[in-house]
Amino acid sequence: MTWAAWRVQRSQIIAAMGVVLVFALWLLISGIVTGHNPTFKYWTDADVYVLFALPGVLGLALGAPLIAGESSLGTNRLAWTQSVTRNRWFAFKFLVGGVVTAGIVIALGFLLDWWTGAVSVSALTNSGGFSSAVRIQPTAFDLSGIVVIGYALFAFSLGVALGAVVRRPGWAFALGIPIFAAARIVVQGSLRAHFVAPAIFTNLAGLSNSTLAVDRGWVLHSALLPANRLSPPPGRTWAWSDSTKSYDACRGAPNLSNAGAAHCAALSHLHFVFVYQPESHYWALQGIETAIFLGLGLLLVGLTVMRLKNWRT
Amino acid sequence: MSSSGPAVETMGLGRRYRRTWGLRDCSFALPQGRVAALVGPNGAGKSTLLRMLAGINAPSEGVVTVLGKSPRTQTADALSRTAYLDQDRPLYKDFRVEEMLRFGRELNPRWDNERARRHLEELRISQASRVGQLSGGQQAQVALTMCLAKRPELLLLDEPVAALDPLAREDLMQILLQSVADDDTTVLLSSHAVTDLATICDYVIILSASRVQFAGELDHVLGVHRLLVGPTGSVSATLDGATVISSITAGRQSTMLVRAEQPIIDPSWEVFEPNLDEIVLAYLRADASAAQPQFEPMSRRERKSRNSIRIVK
Repeated sequence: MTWAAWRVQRSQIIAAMGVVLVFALWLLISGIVTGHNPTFKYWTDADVYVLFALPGVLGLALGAPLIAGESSLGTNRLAWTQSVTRNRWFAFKFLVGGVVTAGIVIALGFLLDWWTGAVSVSALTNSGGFSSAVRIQPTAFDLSGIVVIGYALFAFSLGVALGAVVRRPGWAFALGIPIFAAARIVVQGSLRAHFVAPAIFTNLAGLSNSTLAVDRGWVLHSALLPANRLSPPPGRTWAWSDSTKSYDACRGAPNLSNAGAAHCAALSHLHFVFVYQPESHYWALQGIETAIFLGLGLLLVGLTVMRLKNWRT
Repeated sequence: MSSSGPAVETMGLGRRYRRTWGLRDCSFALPQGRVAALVGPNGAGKSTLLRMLAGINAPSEGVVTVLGKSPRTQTADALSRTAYLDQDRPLYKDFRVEEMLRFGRELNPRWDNERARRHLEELRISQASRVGQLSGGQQAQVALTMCLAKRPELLLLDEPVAALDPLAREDLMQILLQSVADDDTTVLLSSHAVTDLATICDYVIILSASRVQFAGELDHVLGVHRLLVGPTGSVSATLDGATVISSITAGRQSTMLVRAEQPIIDPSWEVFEPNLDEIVLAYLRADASAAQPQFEPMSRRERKSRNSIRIVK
């Protein structure tokens, strides 16, 4: 059954591998070039966009035809009337496709490790760029660690499930893109910050001057607050700035030194608060986010199995 | 499973598609070891019935038993006892023929590779050729070979001879009958080419208007149906214990096909023994007359196509 599951998916797997290989080659070239000459760093900016989309597109491309490709040609009726149960047929196909999807993403991860090192010279000065030094911050977090495996396998399951519903691989792929993007945006934008309770850093002396721990962490909020508070007063948001009025009045003169600013802050009973996810939370966040996407994938597998059981021709 | 029970038994079997019924109130029992013909017009529910028997689709209502089990149990053992040839003869078009055989070998424990190889050799189908490059007839032969090499106890064939030229039709029937004789397989095959069936079948199921109109031994079918020819006026005459299946009036003469358990003794009718063709046709005509006017004027396109046939000849 392993051979059959592989043989049926072979052409799609080879096509996907070909595309990924071309991109990997490009990554290699851009890494070497940018490493030697940082003025080419816009090359690596483009790479980051591709790397962002890759787990989703790859997973959907391999997942969508798994069932839809067979049902649109009718070969599912051939496969299901051999002496192998439908669930076993699905399990083997899913396993082969899933292992290939995860394998490609993992292999690309190793290349990315090298690439990160090669381009880090430019990346540190690149605001939208990529650096292992800030790997807990959104862009780098989404491309490194184990979350990419979660994304890819979720996209794969999504393609499979949509294929089982709409029965057309092209449509399943097209519908999967916005759904995958929505899931990523919701988790990254609204959920990830709350996986683990964030750390808080307060600074009286240097005001907005942060420490290395904050710089290397993922800052969720920062504001000048009354000295007895670590969060804005009830009914206020982090953008609230009323309390800084007395501070601004004290500061008055335009060219105030840092020490003078600290003096004013102390007078106005204010301190600077950073709420952030420190670098040390990286693996906890990675683990939880990966588990969420794998869990969603598992849910979709369950839906697919039910769909297969009550198949309508 | 019991070895003496019917190969297929259905009770009130039905399947609904969105709004219409593909098959309704279907009840019959097919004894083991028979070669049964499932006849009926297009859309009568033949494929719907066969797909339910093959376990591809679940019934919407009623009970179906195949070789003593529900085809929905889907155990590997139950699946290995039944082979199914789909109407579309789905095969993996990018496989070589030898890969198609390997597919069968890996998915079927009782697979008879020697038999498959021999059949293909007899049909001069090279194992190295790509399935998609074979002719339609050859693909049908490969699909049938896949079914036979499974060594099933029950063979379900949906329109096995449709779209085959007479020679290929003969070949296919030959191979089919030979295999059936070797293994004592029960066969249920659907067709609207009734002429081919009369010589090989010993059991008939007539399906029309989504219902079973008749199911029984071929001898019985021939025994209880009579063709009556008489003057038009006598249609109103009572025919005790006889059911009129269809009647055609041409001028002053009426022809009726009736089903009667007792002999018909009525001096106003001439009584003939109909052949299978005429019986099936009568059921199909009864169905058609219920749905649409009996004599439709020939369309322009139809006329044109008939003319062109004459020209070609």
